[in-house]
Amino acid sequence: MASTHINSSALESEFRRVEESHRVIIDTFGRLFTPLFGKRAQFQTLVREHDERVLYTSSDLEITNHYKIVNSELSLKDLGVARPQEALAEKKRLPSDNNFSAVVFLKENTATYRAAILYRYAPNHVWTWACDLTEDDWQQTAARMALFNQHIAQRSDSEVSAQLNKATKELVELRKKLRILTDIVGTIVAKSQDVELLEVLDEVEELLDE
Amino acid sequence: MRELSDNNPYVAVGKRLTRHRIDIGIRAEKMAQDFGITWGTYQRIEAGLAELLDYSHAISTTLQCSQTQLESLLSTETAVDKLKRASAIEALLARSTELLVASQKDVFRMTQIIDDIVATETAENPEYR
Repeated sequence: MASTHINSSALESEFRRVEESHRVIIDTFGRLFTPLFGKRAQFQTLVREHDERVLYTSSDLEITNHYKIVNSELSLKDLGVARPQEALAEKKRLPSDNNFSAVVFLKENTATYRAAILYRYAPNHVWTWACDLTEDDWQQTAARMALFNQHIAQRSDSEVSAQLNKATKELVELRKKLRILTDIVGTIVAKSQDVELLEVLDEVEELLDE
Repeated sequence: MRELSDNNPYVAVGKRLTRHRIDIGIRAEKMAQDFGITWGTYQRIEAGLAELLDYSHAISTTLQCSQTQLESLLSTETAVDKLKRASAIEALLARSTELLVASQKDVFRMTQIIDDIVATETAENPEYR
């Protein structure tokens, strides 16, 4: 029994690490989208696609919606800020063949524009980052969103994979060269016995080992 | 998850946590914060798809029972259920790892696209920051 626990603990620990990486990736997306919105996204929401159930939202909820999300019953419609289903092409917020989409729309019953970037992170699960826009910035933001959609449509997955592979190979090569350089500099620094330089060298070597 | 029966102590404890959370009106992300873990990990705990012994202190404090009581309850899981749970977690982990790799690729893609958009806009309007 003890060994089973050790195994499942190791599995749990690995899963926690992966889940932490997911959290970092989602935060990274939020930061990446900042130049498109012209500011940090104000709202972040995770929605299940097939029934539009809100699984997570960074928004402060009024009491009824708070209890709905606590009971896993909150729907996107309850939030009252998303585009109505009727306004969507094929009733889909994101096309099936694309995992990203950016939109600017007029919020229902208001004169406020909202910009949103949608990302299908997993099958049936869509993250959304959104911002309310002002009279002064909505046009510029809308232009950026249109440009974003164009880029998304133009860059195929295989093209991105090829670029990523190339970048990874370049990084490996760069690491090798840095390792050689560090070894050469290390020999010189070791002879000098300069404590500060030796510490810097240790730090660089640690970075290269990561 | 569906393979594990309600009689499984891990599932039972997960359900008790859900019930308790609903009773006190707290969102899952707040519980995750209190446990010091991610939202995803907390969701797995409520589903009984985690190694609850690793979180026994936080769980027992939340459910106001002793850690020994909790650990004793969890130890009643049958060997067959333990295997089923471990294999369900492994399958979830494999899927989650796949998603992570795909999303890392998407980060790379987004970085390139957004850099291009910013560069275009900066070239057209030097005041853009």
